[in-house]
Amino acid sequence: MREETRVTTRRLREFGQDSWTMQRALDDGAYEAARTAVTSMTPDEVIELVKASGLRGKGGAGFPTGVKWGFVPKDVLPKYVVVNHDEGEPGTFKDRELAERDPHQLIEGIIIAAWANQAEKAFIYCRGEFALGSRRMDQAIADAYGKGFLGKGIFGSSFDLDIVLHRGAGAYICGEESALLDSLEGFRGQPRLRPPFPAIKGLYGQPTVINNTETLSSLPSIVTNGAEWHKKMGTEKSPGTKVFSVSGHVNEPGNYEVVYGTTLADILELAGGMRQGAQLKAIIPGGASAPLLTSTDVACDFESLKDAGTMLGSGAIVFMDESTCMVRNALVTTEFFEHESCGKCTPCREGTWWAVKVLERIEHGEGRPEDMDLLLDIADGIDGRSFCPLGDAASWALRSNVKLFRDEFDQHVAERRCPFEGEHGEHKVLVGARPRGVGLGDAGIVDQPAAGIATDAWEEGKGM
Amino acid sequence: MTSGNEVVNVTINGLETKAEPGRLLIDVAEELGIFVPRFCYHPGMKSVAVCRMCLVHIEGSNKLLPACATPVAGGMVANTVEESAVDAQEGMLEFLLINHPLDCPICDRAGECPLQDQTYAHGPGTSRYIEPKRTYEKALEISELVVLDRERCVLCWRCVRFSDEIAGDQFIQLVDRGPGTQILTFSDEPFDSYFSGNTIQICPVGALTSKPYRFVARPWDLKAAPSVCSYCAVGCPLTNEVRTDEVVRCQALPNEQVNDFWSCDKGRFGYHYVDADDRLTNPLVRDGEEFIPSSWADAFDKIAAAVEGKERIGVISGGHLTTEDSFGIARLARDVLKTSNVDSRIQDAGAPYDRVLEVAPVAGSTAQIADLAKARTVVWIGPDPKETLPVLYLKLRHAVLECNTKLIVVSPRATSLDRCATHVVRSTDSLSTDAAIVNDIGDPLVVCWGPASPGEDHSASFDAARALVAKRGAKLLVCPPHAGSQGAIDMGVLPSLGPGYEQRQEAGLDTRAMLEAAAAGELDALFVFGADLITDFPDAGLARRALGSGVFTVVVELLPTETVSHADVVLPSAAYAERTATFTNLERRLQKLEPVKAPPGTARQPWEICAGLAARLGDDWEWLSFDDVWADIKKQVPTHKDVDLAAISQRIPESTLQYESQFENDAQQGDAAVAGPGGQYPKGFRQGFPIQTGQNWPLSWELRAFEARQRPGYVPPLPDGGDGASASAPASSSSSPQRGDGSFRLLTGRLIYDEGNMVSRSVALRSIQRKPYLEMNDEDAKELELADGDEVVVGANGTQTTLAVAISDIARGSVFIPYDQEGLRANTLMAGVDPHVEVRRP
Amino acid sequence: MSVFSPEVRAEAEAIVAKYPNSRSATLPLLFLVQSVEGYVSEDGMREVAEILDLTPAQVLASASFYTMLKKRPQGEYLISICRNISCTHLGARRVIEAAEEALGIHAGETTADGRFSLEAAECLGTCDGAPSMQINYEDFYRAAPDDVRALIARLADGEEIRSVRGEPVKTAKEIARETALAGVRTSPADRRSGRTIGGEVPPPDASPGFRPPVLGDSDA
Ligand SMILES: Cc1cc2nc3c(=O)[nH]c(=O)nc-3n(C[C@H](O)[C@H](O)[C@H](O)COP(=O)(O)O)c2cc1C
Ligand code: SF4
Ligand code: FES
Repeated sequence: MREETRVTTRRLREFGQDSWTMQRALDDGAYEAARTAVTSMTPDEVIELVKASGLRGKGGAGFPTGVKWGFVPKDVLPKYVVVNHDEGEPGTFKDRELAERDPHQLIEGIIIAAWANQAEKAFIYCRGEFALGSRRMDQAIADAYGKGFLGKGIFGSSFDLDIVLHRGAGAYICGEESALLDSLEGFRGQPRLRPPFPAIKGLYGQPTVINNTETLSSLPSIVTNGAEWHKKMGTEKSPGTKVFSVSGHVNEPGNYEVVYGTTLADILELAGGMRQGAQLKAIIPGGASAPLLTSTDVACDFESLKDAGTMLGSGAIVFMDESTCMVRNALVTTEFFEHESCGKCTPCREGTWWAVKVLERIEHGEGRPEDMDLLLDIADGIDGRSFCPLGDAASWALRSNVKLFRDEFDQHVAERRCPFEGEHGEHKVLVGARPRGVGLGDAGIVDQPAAGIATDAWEEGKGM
Repeated sequence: MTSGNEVVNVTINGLETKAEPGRLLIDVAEELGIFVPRFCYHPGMKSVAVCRMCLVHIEGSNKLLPACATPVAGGMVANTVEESAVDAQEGMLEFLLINHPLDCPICDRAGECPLQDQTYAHGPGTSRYIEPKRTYEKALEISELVVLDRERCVLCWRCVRFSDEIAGDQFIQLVDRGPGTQILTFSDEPFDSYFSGNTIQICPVGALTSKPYRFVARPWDLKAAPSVCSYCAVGCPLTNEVRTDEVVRCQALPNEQVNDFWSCDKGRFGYHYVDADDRLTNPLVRDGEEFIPSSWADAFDKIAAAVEGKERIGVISGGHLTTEDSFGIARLARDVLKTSNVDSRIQDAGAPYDRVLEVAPVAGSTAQIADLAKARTVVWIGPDPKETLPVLYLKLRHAVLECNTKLIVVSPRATSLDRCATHVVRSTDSLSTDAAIVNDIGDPLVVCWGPASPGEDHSASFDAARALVAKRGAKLLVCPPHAGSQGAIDMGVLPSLGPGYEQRQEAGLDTRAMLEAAAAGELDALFVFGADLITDFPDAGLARRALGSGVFTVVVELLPTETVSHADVVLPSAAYAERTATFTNLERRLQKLEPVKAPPGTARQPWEICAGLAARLGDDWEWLSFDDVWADIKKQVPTHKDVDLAAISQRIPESTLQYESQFENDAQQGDAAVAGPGGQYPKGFRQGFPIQTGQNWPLSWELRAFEARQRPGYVPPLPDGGDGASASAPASSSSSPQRGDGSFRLLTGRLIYDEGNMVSRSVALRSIQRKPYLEMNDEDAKELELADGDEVVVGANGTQTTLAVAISDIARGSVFIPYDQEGLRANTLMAGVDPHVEVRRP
Repeated sequence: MSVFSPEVRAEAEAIVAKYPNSRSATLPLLFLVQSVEGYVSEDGMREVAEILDLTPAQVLASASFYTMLKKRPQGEYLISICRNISCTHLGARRVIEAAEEALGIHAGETTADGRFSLEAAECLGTCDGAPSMQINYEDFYRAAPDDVRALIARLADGEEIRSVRGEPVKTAKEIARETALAGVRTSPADRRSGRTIGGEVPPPDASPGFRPPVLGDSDA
């Protein structure tokens, strides 16, 4: 099949620019599902429905949503629902579009989740860089309050629900649910030691349901059409549809919603195929964290991709053609993880720092034959030992680049240069070029002794 | 440790053991003698599992798990030396070392450095890292005591967690992120904590070092012995560490019953007095205006000549004498000098410790520090513990924050405890009258009482505590000020109590009465042991008149003081680092001091001096050693008849860690091995074989601490009966009436760093000492049209002085002035009990 | 000296009221500082610490973690060009170089006249427009070197420009303010509002590691 199956993206595709307005949403029957849930279903019925639908989390881990809700203790109050809208996985841009162009579907999903878990307060953790999405969600929330869909006694029931919009401030790791909670509490966004899991002790130590934007946006259609309808789509273990963010060297990059199990080939075709008939070289099937693939005849569902040695992750697919330098690909990816590492645990903090250094040497023709094995050792040194999955992810990406394209790495070392030089501009080393926090400059990529560090404002008067 | 609940079987490296479920694998392994390498884990704090050094293999888990965050469960089979675990340990060390400067040759930590030790034991031989290392500006002085070197830091977060979790002084934090993550303070705001030194001790590398100790010694040149802090009544066990016979460092020794792993910076950095140039080394005898050095025999002759046949004699002892000294002093006074004028209360003059017997079988605590965490409610009636009993403050804070104990603070002025208290009241009356408070008082209840403001009539606050204890059958924690205070009470250095709290029919004179007698010329001789009456007694004028009255005065001291300058005979005393002795802390816990160096000159221990004098005056006690004194104490002091001296110094249970050197079986090492370097790395297994460590590789603190944790000391059991149920309700306390126009009740109290004789000898501590100031209620300030920071003139009995006003939460009609800061001694403003001062605008 | 005027201080209080626990307001308040100062100044952090009853060090610890909170004075327009996978493979480096030339600075720097800052950003979540970029967090797609030069020229002339989604580009201070106040108007003051008292409130959660002190929830 070469068809999209538009469910969560239906409204925003059918209506044009103003698909995000309350008026459009109401024309399209928005909030009826939420009303049904709150006024004519018990919380447990909703949880059972979601369990039966087989809906799996769409933020990356793919954990069955209904099951996760089942862990939440009934007797502990207050409870919270937190929306993970910190979409930062490189290649992923589905949550952004869903929130920018159909925020009411998301709010409706939040209401359903909040009712099911009896949470009277929900937080949307919106990635800091998403100005427009935040602007539109802010307006949509205001409209929803205006219509009585939020606030006290929603839909005339006795159930109160407030939604608090909270902006991140630039940190990929805050997408990791426990880091997100620390960030939302005003701390450094560093992952928490688990157990206890957020469902038991989450925000402010209270039971907390954390779901991804796309996951919550899928809820209204399930309440409307029922579990059976949802199970019919996709595969047995991965029912339903998924919005895949397709980018790279394709003709029509964008979000494509298809049922789970659709092959990469079909998705590539939906995206208009490779640009000017260029040859496909490598595929990132599930965001920067996912190991690479080279073939397109893999079905996109959790199981098939796992069997193919990679993962579905956030559903970000990057197709790369043969103009791509895989050393640079490894470098760009690893630089990302180094920059976004929270610095909490040794293997991720030091391992990514080291790998970047080695990759930079190779890319600039200063590689040594032993460097490839060293890179693999560094990957092994991180994999399975880091505090949270970010470190693991960094090692998987690194390892698969080196393993699959080792000859290309060797070529860099042998020719003492990047054979792809000039293809897409020099790979200039971006010392300190990346976004800087209030921190002491991007010390992570400072080479010169104390550069950008000793001079910092809050160090004056220090030192001896 | 072993609480009654059930235990499960756990297997670690093939060794079977039993442990309570939920205990951390890393601890259980350690007790088996298996040391799991670690950086971030510290037994005194919560696990964060960030360094990933302690990853171990656990059957049934597909990932390695951090032993520091993995609770043991029934049937768990763990392996810390299996291929994958060892590989991870090696890998982690390689990661940690790529950015470590390896400047060990100039690093204070080298030689006792956990990173060094563990690299040696578990690390890779070489590094494959060829790129430039991460660099930061080195050696930032983040306070007068602590120096930070971020390049050496391994980001274990211990210092940050300590400051956050234990001390509550969040001045040192993690800054930036990823590979740029570092430890830092904010701008020019110093790491301004009374407990900062602990972070130096627990730093597993040389990132945090001690400014006073920096570059002073190498660990392997140090000789160390376990001792006990001689400052406050908490009695934190400390090491005294000497290089070429000079004390250069003190570090906290762990005792879970007392201080966990911590000490305050006063105890840690306040050691310089021991080797002060002006230590008294020989007896001095007055000759007209000057002192001439003399032999002990001559000095004793002179004393004998002066006291023989005299009745009107007084004996005053300071708060810093050991249990043995106090026993000697009490015996000298009563049996030899035949006087009951003997008292140990100076700063706390008049504190009714003897009246504790009305509600307890002892004139001291029936509670122990550990009870605070078990209590549902703790009532604090006393001074600001953060200033006067710092580590007790940590314990109270911990009880509230971690054990959900409700805290009720009763104090006429704001204390550091207020912010974690459920109720704060400025008058003791509220304890019985305020319904909300009465309802919140639940059992188990611990009432803490200590004399708060020198010079005040302490009976009011005591009556409140006593009433509560009597009514609720609560446990009482008596909090006297100094390291020796409780020992003095136990040994009978009180006018009304003999050794073992024996009630005397007719009480002798207390300190104030003795001084008044002396001043009135009604005293023939005055013996002063380790006390500077003129700075310490809450009426400087009276002390001066007394000592100036020409009464024959004998002073036993460490250092020259103003009191010494009035003496007729001066006898030099040995200091605590030089002695085998015991201190009795505020729980009545006996802990042992061991000597690490010889006293200067011919200085002697106060108990030796007492015995010597007694012999000279015809009563030979045959005290030649510490053990002789104790044999006598056990005979004469009923409460102490069963004290087991072995138990005091013994480690319980015996350490299970084995060293390749077998030094744990080496008698000579004795307890020095506990505290001091010179041990060796414990035997572990690596791919089945023993670790090969170097010869005499100094033991890192990780292990020394583990060893020493097992010296609990000994608390004499409570005699049965007489738990004072009979106690009648006290007269309700009414804080003394406010006198009109500009006259204020004077509250004072010691701050942690002051002009005190011993502490002020430490340059670093003296440099962060606060200047004198005056605390005043804002209403009162308004009436006087004073604002925060304004200058006021304070006057009393003739003296006048100008101070800056600090508006604070203090009872109306009262002002607070610190007791002894540079430039003003509050006791010069005092006359009589419950002193008042005039306060006016300049 | 205080960074917030009385009006802004009132807004700060409104932000604090959004949350069950005041410490959650740390990030928005820092954005508020940035909207006044143009970056997160030391005085700003001190003031936030004072409002939330934290130590300045605690505020620095959080502030320094996030890349959108700037520690140095920033340009009026922050140009963020994505350097991540899709964009790099579609020539983002050339775009960055073009911008560097046009502005005469390196990525990571700010022009002398304080009008522009340039940075090489991580994935902006707009890979469908690769090479993509943001100006003060408004999206621009398929940035070719020439387009960037043109955009910069127009901004320099003070022209108003709109993002691919037709949003007008705001100034750095305006966008910081919008970020700080996001969700304030729709957030009724929290019913169970509780304030952290420094680190001194019993954490409800005895699990290992740092736990946030929570007053409001501790007795729930
Ligand atoms: C390093 C890291 C980054 C993550 N980033 C995101 C993200 O940006 N958005 C998201 O929804 N989930 C992200 N996740 C997954 C979340 O931890 C969590 O699984 C998810 O939000 C749960 O929601 P779901 O069950 O609806 O998918 C991330 C996980 C990790 C380990
Ligand atoms: S793996 Fe470690 S350093 Fe990396 S993000 Fe997770 S916790 Fe932080
Ligand atoms: S000691 Fe266990 S992770 Fe650091």
